[in-house]
Amino acid sequence: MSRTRQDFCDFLAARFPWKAESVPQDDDSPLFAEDACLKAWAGQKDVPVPEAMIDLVQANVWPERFRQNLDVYTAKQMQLILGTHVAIAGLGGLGGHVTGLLARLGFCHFTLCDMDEFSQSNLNRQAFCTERTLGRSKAQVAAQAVSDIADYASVRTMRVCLDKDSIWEFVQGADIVFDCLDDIKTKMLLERTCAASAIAFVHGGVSYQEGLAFAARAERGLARLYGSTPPPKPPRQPVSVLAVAGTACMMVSLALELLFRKSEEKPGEGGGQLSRLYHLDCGEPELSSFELGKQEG
Amino acid sequence: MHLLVKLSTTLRDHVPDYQPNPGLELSDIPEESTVAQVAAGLNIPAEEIKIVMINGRQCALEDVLRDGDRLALFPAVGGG
Repeated sequence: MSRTRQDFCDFLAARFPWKAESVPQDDDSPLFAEDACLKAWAGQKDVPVPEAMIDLVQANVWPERFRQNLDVYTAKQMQLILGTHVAIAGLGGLGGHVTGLLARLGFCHFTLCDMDEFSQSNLNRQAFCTERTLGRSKAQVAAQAVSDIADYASVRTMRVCLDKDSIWEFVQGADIVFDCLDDIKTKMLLERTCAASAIAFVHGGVSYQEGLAFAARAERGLARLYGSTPPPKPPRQPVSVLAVAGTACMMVSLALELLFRKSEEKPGEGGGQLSRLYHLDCGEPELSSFELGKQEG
Repeated sequence: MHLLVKLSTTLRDHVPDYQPNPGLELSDIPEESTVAQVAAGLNIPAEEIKIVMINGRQCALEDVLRDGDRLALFPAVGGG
């Protein structure tokens, strides 16, 4: 038995003896630990809960809350999820669903940015918009929703309009940035900022029953798609909840692919990366993918 | 030549009775036609087309089409 697992089993026997009776004795069998045990263990070690979880997963001790993640994700992948800082720009349709998915997966370091409050026209598609949250800050409501799923998560909120002055503060500390904004000009500013710092950038865009998504690091997919002049924001952008929920799933899937692939890179590898462009039509439904062209200039 | 044309979101409004599945199956298109010429024939304003894909690869409005090509046209898709 590994040292960490042995220590944890001894801790269980001392503090939670009724839990320790059924503990598997070999490292190959996963041990599932409930939150109360994990939090007490983290307190004894004087480390944050996510850090304790990362150490324990290494020893095949999984949080009970992630029992169903086991065999979907490896221990190494679960550790990456627990330790990665995600930043979500825009907490409306895409951003709400993306935030909820990330919190369920086990991400627990968040920056959440949106300057708006929920209104009735958001009820048709935005994950955290309910009759109870109408009029409340989207960023604050999303932060509360993350906390309701994982009270040990660290969440930084920003209630600003992202522009060239605020964008650097937004991406600070982020490993992956999710573009859930609703105008292409600001999306392209965010993409440029991430590319300049080699921060992983995951784009999502929705309209009617369709959505587009890609992921990049140190590459600029939006510049390839739209050239140097961003198209103007239309006066109205109708969109169905099917498009935002489906596109949010594509975005998170692309982010995980980028995250897991990076962890397997050898030193010196890992230049610019750009996924295919994925197009989901929820009216059919139909999923297609495309190879992006070269960037202008 | 024959083409299969798939239209996205607002571009569908320009083609009455457009069916997303299978899309538009065009025949008798003149050889060497460009994407812009095919779009004009469908009454789709060129300025509304922001993304052009031919057989799964991003291309441009002025690119020439070949018999059997699958053409996908998108407007800007920027909602969040």
